[in-house]
Amino acid sequence: MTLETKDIEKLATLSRLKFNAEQIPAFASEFENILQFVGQIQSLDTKGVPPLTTTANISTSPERADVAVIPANPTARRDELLANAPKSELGFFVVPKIVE
Amino acid sequence: MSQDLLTLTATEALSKLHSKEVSSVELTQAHLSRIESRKHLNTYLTVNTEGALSAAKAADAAIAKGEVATLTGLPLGIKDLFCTNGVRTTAASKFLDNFVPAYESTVTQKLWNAGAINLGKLNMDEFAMGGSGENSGYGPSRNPWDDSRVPGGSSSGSAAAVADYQCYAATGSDTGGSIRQPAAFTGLVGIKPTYGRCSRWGMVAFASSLDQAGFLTRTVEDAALLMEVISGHDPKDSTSSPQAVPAWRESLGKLSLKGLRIGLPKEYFIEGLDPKIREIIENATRQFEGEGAIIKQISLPHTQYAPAAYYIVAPAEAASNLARYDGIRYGVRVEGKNLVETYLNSRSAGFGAEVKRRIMIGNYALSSGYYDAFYTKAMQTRTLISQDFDKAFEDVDVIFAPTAPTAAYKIGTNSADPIAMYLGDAFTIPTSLAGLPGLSINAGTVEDSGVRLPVGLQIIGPRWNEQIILQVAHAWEQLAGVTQPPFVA
Repeated sequence: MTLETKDIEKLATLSRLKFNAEQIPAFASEFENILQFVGQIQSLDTKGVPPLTTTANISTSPERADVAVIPANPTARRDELLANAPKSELGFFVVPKIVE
Repeated sequence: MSQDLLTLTATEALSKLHSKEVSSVELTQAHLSRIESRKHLNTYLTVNTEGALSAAKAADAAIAKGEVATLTGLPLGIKDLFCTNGVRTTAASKFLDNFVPAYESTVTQKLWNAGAINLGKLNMDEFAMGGSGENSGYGPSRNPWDDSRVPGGSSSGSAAAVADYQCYAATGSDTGGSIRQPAAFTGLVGIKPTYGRCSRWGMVAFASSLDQAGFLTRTVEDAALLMEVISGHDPKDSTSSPQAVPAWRESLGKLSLKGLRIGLPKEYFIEGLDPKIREIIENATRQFEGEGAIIKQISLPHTQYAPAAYYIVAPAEAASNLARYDGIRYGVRVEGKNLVETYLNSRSAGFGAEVKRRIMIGNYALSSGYYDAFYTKAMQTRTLISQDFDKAFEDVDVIFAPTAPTAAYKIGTNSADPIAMYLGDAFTIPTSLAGLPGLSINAGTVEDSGVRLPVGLQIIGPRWNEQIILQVAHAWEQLAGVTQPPFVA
């Protein structure tokens, strides 16, 4: 499996990551080694084997009521949560402009 | 004096606290001084000095009034991926350098409800991705047995702190071995319960179908006691099970070793296993045999595929879980000229190399052209691995294996080679993929370059049977004597 610079760049953008041009060749070779390592499972016969996504018994899990929990003091709670935001204003998260 | 207090087990400390022989403030102070004097091991990322002392005072007041809960006054350390309300929680990622949760994880809430004291937050591999602690954004923790070595990972600070007497016990989390392997590297008891035994609510998510909370302790009794407190269903996590939590501590000493069927899987005693470690595990097995246990050679034929399957499943889940780190709601933000560029800048600045690598692998395995060949195939492999265990447990009661193929190694040994690092988890990953309970306990020591280093015996049990692995581990303590890590003054 050979990965080209543009493949790595595309995957990085989809992953919302970026690598400097000079980092890419080393990363690509390391990435190929890892793909080769995890690719070992290709040799296994898994015809008809169901995939195991979780070992939890989801079908019998108790479910909580699907209702919103309103905090006693919504404004104070909002401000507590906003306290971690790198940028907030007037009780809102501030995001960069998304409409050109 | 202080050494006498620090080297108590959690159970002994509680009995002295509740009989008013010592106060929680004394114990808390002793640990805070110890933490201060042992900073070079880099165990704590945040020391909760004021919070711990005020909670200790409150615990002493409660004890004076006769209001004693299971853990009242007991100082503990918390792996930094459990969100703690008002106490900085970083998951050892620079991305979360300033993150102060506005809520408490269920596991830690249960500990505080039972009266425990939070000494602070412990170092780890960033987002629990690593097997040595070297992937921490805040530098590696050091192994108290030899401070040029790693304490294992990802619960590196938890292991180093408990082994160095900087807390009586510490929470850990185990996704592919992150409690058991560091316990082995530091001579501790480390237990990962059955998947679903503990709530994951408020734990910084890595791979949600694998992550489980557990404990690193110096004795099996402490592990049983603390696991009873944190286990049980939580309405906030639908994957936590309503299964009743047994009285594990009381069950200790009540298992007869006569006729106990112990399986030794041949796939774990392979070339990559250090022969000195093999000898220690075989010696432990012989001692059980001497007590009347029946040793059976078994086969878990898909074991060799477990690391490959794990390093698809875990990164795939991580890639999805870590999509939340956008630099908007919390964490690092590095502005770009538009929203996407802000995401790219923030995530690239905040995440370390291994985290980026796993996000890339995960997204590759989940991308449309490769989904079936990698992700689906890995989950099918997981089924085969899980079935191997189901079959084995028809013939045996517990499985014995080495916890790790080597003892603790020098800092820097594997840090430039991701695959060598991944293979360090080869013996703990299969249990995780199958969701089974596993425990590591010190089985002896080996000598390496003139240093004595502990070796872990891994005891694996059937689903929901933490009791038998705790009982067998406790029986081992009776047979071999409890080995405590050396106290370095």
